[in-house]
Amino acid sequence: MDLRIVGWRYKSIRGMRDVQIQLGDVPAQWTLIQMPNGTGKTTTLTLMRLALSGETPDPQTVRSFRPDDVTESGEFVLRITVDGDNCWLILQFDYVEGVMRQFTSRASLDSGGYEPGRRLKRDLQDLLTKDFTRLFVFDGELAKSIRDLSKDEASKSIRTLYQLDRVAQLRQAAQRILETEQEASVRTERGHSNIAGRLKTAEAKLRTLKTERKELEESRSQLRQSIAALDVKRQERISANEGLGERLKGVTAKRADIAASLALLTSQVAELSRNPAAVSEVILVRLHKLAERLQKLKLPKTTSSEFFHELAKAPECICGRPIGPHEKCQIEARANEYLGHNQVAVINAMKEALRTSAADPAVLAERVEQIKGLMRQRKQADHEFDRLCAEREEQGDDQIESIRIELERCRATFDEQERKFLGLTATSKADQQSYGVDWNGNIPLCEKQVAEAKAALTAATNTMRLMEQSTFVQNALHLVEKRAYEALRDRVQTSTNIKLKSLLPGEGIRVSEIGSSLMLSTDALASKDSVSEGQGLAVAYAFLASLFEDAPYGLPFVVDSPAVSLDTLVRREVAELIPSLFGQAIFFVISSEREGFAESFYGRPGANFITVQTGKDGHTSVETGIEPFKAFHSDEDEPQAEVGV
Amino acid sequence: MTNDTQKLVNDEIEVALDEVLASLNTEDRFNSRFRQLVRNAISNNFADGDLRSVIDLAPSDYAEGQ
Repeated sequence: MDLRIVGWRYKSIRGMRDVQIQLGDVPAQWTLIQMPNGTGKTTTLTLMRLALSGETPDPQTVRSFRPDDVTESGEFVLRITVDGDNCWLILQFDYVEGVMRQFTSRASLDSGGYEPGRRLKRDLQDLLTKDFTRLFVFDGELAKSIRDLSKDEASKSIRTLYQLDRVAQLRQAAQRILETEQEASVRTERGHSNIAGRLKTAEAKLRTLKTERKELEESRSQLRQSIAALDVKRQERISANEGLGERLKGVTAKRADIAASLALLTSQVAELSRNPAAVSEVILVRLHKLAERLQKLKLPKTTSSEFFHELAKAPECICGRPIGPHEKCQIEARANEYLGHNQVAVINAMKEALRTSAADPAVLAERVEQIKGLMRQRKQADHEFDRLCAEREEQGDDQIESIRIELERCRATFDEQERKFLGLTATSKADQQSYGVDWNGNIPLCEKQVAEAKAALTAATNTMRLMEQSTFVQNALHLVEKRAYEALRDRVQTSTNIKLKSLLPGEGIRVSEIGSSLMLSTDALASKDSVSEGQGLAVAYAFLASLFEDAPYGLPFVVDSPAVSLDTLVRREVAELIPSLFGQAIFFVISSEREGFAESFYGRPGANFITVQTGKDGHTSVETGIEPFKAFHSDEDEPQAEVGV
Repeated sequence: MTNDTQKLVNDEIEVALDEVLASLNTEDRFNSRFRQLVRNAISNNFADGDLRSVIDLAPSDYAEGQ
């Protein structure tokens, strides 16, 4: 991707009322713009950085561009090309409010209008951050901060420029994927262990409950047999007395008859209860009312439309009356009123069932009363049987007494076990509540608990698995990024030191490490903490030149007073080094920088010279060409006076 | 981006990938997908779906669907 600056325009910015700088549609590789101190060099670089980075300046910065106390607004337009496409970055300043509004205009826009904000191609939009822009719209302060250990400009610029931050973005995406899934599940190993523990507990309880059920089944079966055997024994003891034996036969026969009748009546009541109409007169009435409210009976369309078609063609109706032209039209016209969706057959069947539902609720009531009567009779027969037993005991039969006691014990045990068994196996919620059991005492509930814990464990396991896998991938990406960064960093370091050798010959200054910043050393010093301004600038140039020479982006290099703090020899070296590394370089110089630096460009085919000066009347003139450039002199341009605007 | 500069970055990335993947002792399928993912990312052309499929191929002590 190739970005070039092709011009800019000031409107009511500091001393520039309406000034336009044009570098041409295809700008020269090197442009030297001579502007005296105090006429807007530093301001221009600040405006370029604002336009390219999209950052928002504070009100104080905005007002610093105000030309006078009466001007309320100003504008700066930077025209660039991105891979040959024109783009205008517009900054509008409201000096009263102290705010800046940015717009973008692109040749590709049909409307040709302004879009709010900075709208560059995606790669550039991400790349041109505030810090990164300072690297190529070169801020003199960067020469100091690039060596400052408290900042990480050096490593950050390598990562950004060589696109290693895209690997870092992959790592962030892997973390985002993980966090999205974690929101719905457990986050920690401990959470996973808790769920696994819950499943283990539930499975162990289920095994215990099933064992208990099996034991109860066996015990209840044995108790049933014991009770039956004891019943037989007791009847044998009663039958040993002739008189009592006869009465026993009668009671036994009566109890058998009652049991048979009860079984019959119970099944009849169950059958009757299946018909709601037979349960209550009220229900019957309501069912008939529901049938009346249901929609008009219709026929299924797909199967019945042909019926009306055939009927309309027939000579007479199904009622026997003749069908003439009028009747034929009426049948065909009104057929749709009697045709419905195919599912209408189900509704028809329902309506028919409701309409024809009929029963006599009195029959059910009568059967219920009969059951009640039989139950009373059974109770009487049981009492009679108990009386026989009591009489036998009174006659001094010790055995029948012990049989009774044993029977009572067996029955009590059986009842207790039966209650436990029913609680253990109850499936309906109502039964489970009536037995007061939860999953610790009920097999169906415990099975449900196990199933839920299993599902939770599966989800948790999948999340834990994803966490491990995501962490693995993130670590692998980090290693790749680190390894590639180190290789590229070493390459930049080596290249920087080669350049420093020619920029600062004999001084032995070199970059010993690119860590969070540039660490310098010399042959004599392992760590050189302080350097002169000229040395610092040379280090910064060597580093930036090395950084950009292999960079995947073609960016312009814009620098303010590039040589003012360098001695003449180094100026020539810088003039040789920097220009060849950038597809486009724009140097803002003062007249004193012509010596050693600007003069190195005289006669070069790719060099363009512009001179900007503001007269005493406040008018700013822009002259292009080498002669005005050479001829210009400002008394104010003393090197030590360069403090920027 | 010129072909030369792209090649420089790509070469360094490939060397880094070779070294890192060799040290991870992962399966071939993971290695090839991971390599492609990083290449696509450098070209600013990757989707979450590609990343997820690489994550799913990464080793884990937790058995799938346990």
